Formats: sequence, structure tokens, C-alpha cells
Amino acid sequence: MSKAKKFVVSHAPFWHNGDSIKIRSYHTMIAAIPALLFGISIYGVPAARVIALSIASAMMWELGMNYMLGQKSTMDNLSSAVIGMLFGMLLPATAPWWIVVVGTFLAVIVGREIFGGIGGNPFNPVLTAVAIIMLSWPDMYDYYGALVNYNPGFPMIYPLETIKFQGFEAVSDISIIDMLLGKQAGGIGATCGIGLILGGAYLIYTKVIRWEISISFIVGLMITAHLFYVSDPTKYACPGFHLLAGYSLIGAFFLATDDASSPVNFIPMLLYGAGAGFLTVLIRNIGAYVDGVVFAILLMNLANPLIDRLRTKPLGKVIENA
Amino acid sequence: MKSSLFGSATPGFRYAISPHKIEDIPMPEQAMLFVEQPKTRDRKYVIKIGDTIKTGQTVSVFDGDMSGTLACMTGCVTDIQTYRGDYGQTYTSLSIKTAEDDMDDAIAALNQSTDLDNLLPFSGNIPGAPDLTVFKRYESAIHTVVINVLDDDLLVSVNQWSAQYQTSDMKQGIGFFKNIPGVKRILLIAPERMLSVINTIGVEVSVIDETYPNVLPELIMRDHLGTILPEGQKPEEQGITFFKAEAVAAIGQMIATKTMPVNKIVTVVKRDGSCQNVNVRLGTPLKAVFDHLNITTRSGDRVIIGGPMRGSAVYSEDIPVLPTTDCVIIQSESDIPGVATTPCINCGECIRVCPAEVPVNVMVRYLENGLYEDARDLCDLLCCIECGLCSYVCPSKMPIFQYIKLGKHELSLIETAEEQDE
Repeated sequence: MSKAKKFVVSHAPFWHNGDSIKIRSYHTMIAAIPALLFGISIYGVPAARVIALSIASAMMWELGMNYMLGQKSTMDNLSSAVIGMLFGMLLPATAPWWIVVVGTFLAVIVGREIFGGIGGNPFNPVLTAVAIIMLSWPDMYDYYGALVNYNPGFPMIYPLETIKFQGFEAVSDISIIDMLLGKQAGGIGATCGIGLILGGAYLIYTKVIRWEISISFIVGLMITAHLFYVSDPTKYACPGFHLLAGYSLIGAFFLATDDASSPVNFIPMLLYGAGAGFLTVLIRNIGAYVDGVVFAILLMNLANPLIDRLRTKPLGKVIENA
Repeated sequence: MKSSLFGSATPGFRYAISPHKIEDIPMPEQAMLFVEQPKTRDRKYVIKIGDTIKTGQTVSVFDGDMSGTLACMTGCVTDIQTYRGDYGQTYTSLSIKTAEDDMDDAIAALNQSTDLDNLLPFSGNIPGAPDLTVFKRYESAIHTVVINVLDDDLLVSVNQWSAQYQTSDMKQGIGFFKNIPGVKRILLIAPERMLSVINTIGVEVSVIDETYPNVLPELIMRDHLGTILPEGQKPEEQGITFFKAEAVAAIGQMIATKTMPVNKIVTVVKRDGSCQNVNVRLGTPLKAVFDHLNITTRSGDRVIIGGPMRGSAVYSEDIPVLPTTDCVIIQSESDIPGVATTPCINCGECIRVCPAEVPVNVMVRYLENGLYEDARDLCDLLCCIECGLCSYVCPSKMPIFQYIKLGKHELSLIETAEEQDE
């Protein structure tokens, strides 16, 4: 009788902590809700339209790729939904539908699938797409042009651009508190500082992101910004301003922390985060682009395989002294 | 059997606390004897159905194979089968119709002397499977004997039970180790809560933090002996050897009673996760243990020999309780987490949880593609201490531990092949 019984045989360990990619994706989406809701409440239905289309098209691209390669659908781990959501959060609310569809193609297919799908991408897929669009259609990320028709009850200023061309004094009437509360122009989900900080704290608490990267990004950014500020307070913005303007916070908590393209060892994580923060301010203050987050993180992605080799000696490696 | 530690990156696993109750399981009518098959191709059985064996008798199973195995029961061979274990190891299983114990002459020899040479034949065949041959193989190079009071996996509480309730046997066993030439230091590794019992044994004790996987030899060496075991080496090469408390108690029992200990403590973990310790005759098939405890198994269940982190699943409940079998787990179909083919997403959970600080995320990419030598040379595959935590936390549900064990196995095959070429 016992011969007929078929037991399941597999390798140890026989327990699992229950974590999965899908749960991590859910956590990321939950973390983005405060910032997203704020963006939608300011910009209304057009913003919701961009986000919805972005998530849907990103998932469709992944499904299409699975179909083309004859693979089982990997869509249900929701990683491409997260990519779509983050891509949408960086766009202005008035982005035309085709840029959303092209952008998610660039993110999901060019940024990730051609490198072997989830876990294989050397660069953050969202930022790959943003960088390509920034270079190909520079007007798409011109928030003054995009949001000219909005009057939400606060000055629709895209602070980084104003500083770049008019100096820090031109924005001296914008208080840090207003920026923290999101009273500035920018991407749908990238302006509400307090919402992003809440989301980031949630992600750190649930251990979906590695706190070392976020914190060192912020520290690197603030220190560099402070050095510039001290050298010329009329021209360069103060550190708090840099932290709350542009993509800094969404970069620190949602973009720099992309699993596949960031390091996992302790010191490399600090180097990676601090390097990205440093490059962000450098590009903003003396580079050609208004916001440096996109290229700063992409450059650090490039350095990731190299810096992630810095790791502690494992147990059992004994240096042999002759 | 899911963990309540959902979402936590560093599982604070505590080793099990031994229950006081123990249930005796009588000797079954049908017992089993497992013999490792030699790796040579042409092996011929010298044992046949109908042969009788005696308790303590060295049973030679194969022609020309001197090692044989020590019978732990008396009876008549009724069937000879092959069982396939992990990594290509095959066993011959002898079904034995048990009879009243009839002691072999080998046991009588214990009455004359109980020094190392007399105990050597029992090495590996008594509860806890102590490998006494290390004292011969490394001659007098073994200077430290470490005795583990905790078990090396979660939920298991066999060694603790031995230390708690077989204290006098433990004392005898430790006295035996003290007389072995070359042994200078005997160290008991015990948790703080057991110190009141352990201190009565009268030997050096080191207190261990009861968090998994602190009991693994490499970590004990680092934390309690202040030496690092170089990768790929055995502790014995550093002059250190490890014994389980149960094995020490079994040796002590042999010396005290001049007989062969044939009963073993086994922790049985039922479907609902409750643990029970039972006292079983070596060679009892798992089926008999289950029947006695009113456990019914179904197709789709998982039967695990060993603990939840490091054990191995078996395909048959006919296999017997061996000297190394500390724990048997029944897992219902719905509680089996399963593995997936999703690639590594580089989340870093394994890096954070790895006690040996092996770069698991990079290593698993080499292992997936069969690049075992690269995994060893670039990613310190041999530094892995086999705790299984990386697979436990992996959100991609990759069978990382399996890849690691397979990698090590393949490397050892390559090494053996190279040695044969020379």
C-alpha cells in the first residue's frame, strides 16, 4: 500500500518566509499611494489617465514579450506594473498618450526584457526610458510648457529650472514647507515631498528597499549641495531645496533602490547612494541638464558591478601568511 | 508550516526546547537495515534472503567489501531492495523479520575492555553516529573534542534530551574521550537555560546563543574556539572534532552496560507543527513510527528526515530510523512552499542573512549555469556552511541551497576524477 503513495520530494529548506516578488511589488505600489493621490488631486483626471495608461501599457508590453518568446506569462509578479507606475509618476500630467506607450516600451522592453527580464537589467528600466525620452523629445519634460494651463492655487514654478537660469534668489519666495507639501510643478508623483518620505519610510520598514542606498543618497546630495551653497548662496540653492525639488526624493526611495541595478553589499551601497547624490547636485549646478537625478543614477548603475565587488571576506577565507 | 516571521529579513530562529515527555515505540515485526552501496560497478551480494543475523554482528553485504555494517537487531533477512538517496548515493535495504535479541560475540568483547580499539567497530552504528575513526585517521592530532548539546537544526531536540536525562552516561562518555591520547580539551556547547544540568557533568562549558544557525561547526569554531575553519577543510584537519551529546551518551552507555545501545531518540514533527520525542529501536521503519503515533500519510505529503532547514525529503516511508536520524517531519501538501524558476532579482536578502558572508546573489548566477569552478574561485562556494537561510528568504523562491549542494557535489566529483587521472 505504501508503494502507491507518492510523497513530494524536494531539497531543503522545507520552510519559506513567504516573501515573493509579487508582495514586494505590492509594497512598492502601496508606498507610492500618498504621492500619487496628491498628484492626482492636483492635476485631476489627466494625471490619473497618464498613470493608468502607463501601468496598463507596461504590463501589456511584458505580456507581448512573453508571447513573442513563447514564455509563460511573468506579468503576475507585477514588476512591470511597478515600472509603469514609476514611469507615469515622473511624467507631467499633460503627457500625450503616445509618449506614455513609447516610454513604457523603452522601459519594459529596452530597459529590461532584452537583458533577460526581471533581475537582468543593468540600468534602472524607468530611468532608461526617461533618459531616452529626455534626449529624443526634450520638450516632454519641460514642466513650464506642459503645465501652463494649470492654476492649482499656488505658483506653478518648476524650481530647478528657475534656479538654473535665474539663480537661487529668484525662488526665494518659495518656502521649504510649501515644497514639502508639494506646492511646486513637476512630475505627477514626484512633487509631494511628505508623501514620498512616508512611502520611503514604509518601504524601508517592510525591507523592500535597502535603507543604506536611500539614506546615503540623501546624505550625499545634501552634503554636496551644502558645499555649493556655502561657496555662493546667491547662485546655488540650499541643501533642503535640492532635496525637495525635482526627482530627488522619488529617486532616493523608488529609483536608486531598483533591485537589479543597485549593489547589495554594505559599503558598496553607501558608495552607490552617496555617489548618485553627489552626481545629482553636480549635474544640477554645473551640468547642462536641469535635473541630475536621472543621469546620476544611471551613471552609478554603470559603476554598480564594479563597486559591488567590495565585500567583506567570507567565513573561511584565511589569508595565508608565508 | 509557515513561519510567523513574515517580512522579516533576519529570521530570529530559536532552537527547539526539548519536551519532557517521551514515548516508547516497541520493536516492530519488520525492521530494516540500510547499507551504503560501494561506488564500484560490479558488486555481488553475499547476503541472501533467509540468512539470519544477530545484534552486534558485522554483516557483510557485498563480495570483497570489507566494511560491512553492524546489525542493530536479530532476525531473518526477508527481502533485499535498493534505495536511492540524495546525490546518486544508493543504499541496499535489508528487510528483517525481527526476533528476540541474540547478542553477537562482538558485544561480549566489550566485557574485557572498553578502550578505543574495542569501540571502533561500533563507530557510526550507535545512536548519534559518532565517528570514532577520526582518532585513528588523524592519529594523535585531535586535541579538542567539542560536544554539542543543541541539535543542528530547528525543531529537533534529541541532543538536549540526552544531555538532560542521560547525564551519567554523558559523564562516562566524556571520561572515555579524556583517555584518548592527544585530546587536551573537551568543550561542551550548551544554552544558558540548561547550565544547571550541564554544570553537574564537570567539564568546560561554553554558553551558546540559541539563534539559528549558531550551532553549525564553522560558527562554533569561530565563536567558541577562536579559530576560523579554512574553506573546504574539515574541522579534524585543525585538530578539532565534533560529537553530538546523544553520541557521547551512547558511548557512555556502552561503557557502563557493556552492551550496544540500540534505541534512539527521534523528534517527530506532526502536521500541525507539534513536536514529540519518541524512543525507537534503530531500524524501525518510519511507517511503524507513524502507525504508533496515529499519523496517516497521504500522497502529496512530504516526509522529511532531519530538520526543516537542512533535512532531506524521502520518497518512501519504508526507510528505517538510522543512527543519524534525529527528526522526522510530516508536512501536508498545502504547507509545502515550493520553488519557482524565477531568476534572481538581486534584492540582497540572502546577502543580509548569510552567516558566512558568501556573495550568494552572484554565486547563484554561476551555479544556475553549471559554472561550478567559477562559483568556487570567484564567489567562495566552499565557504558556505549549509544553513539554508538563503533559500528560506529568497523572494524569487530559487532553490539556492540545492544549487549550492549540487555545486559542491559536482566539484567533489571533478576532484575525484582528477585524482584518479594522476
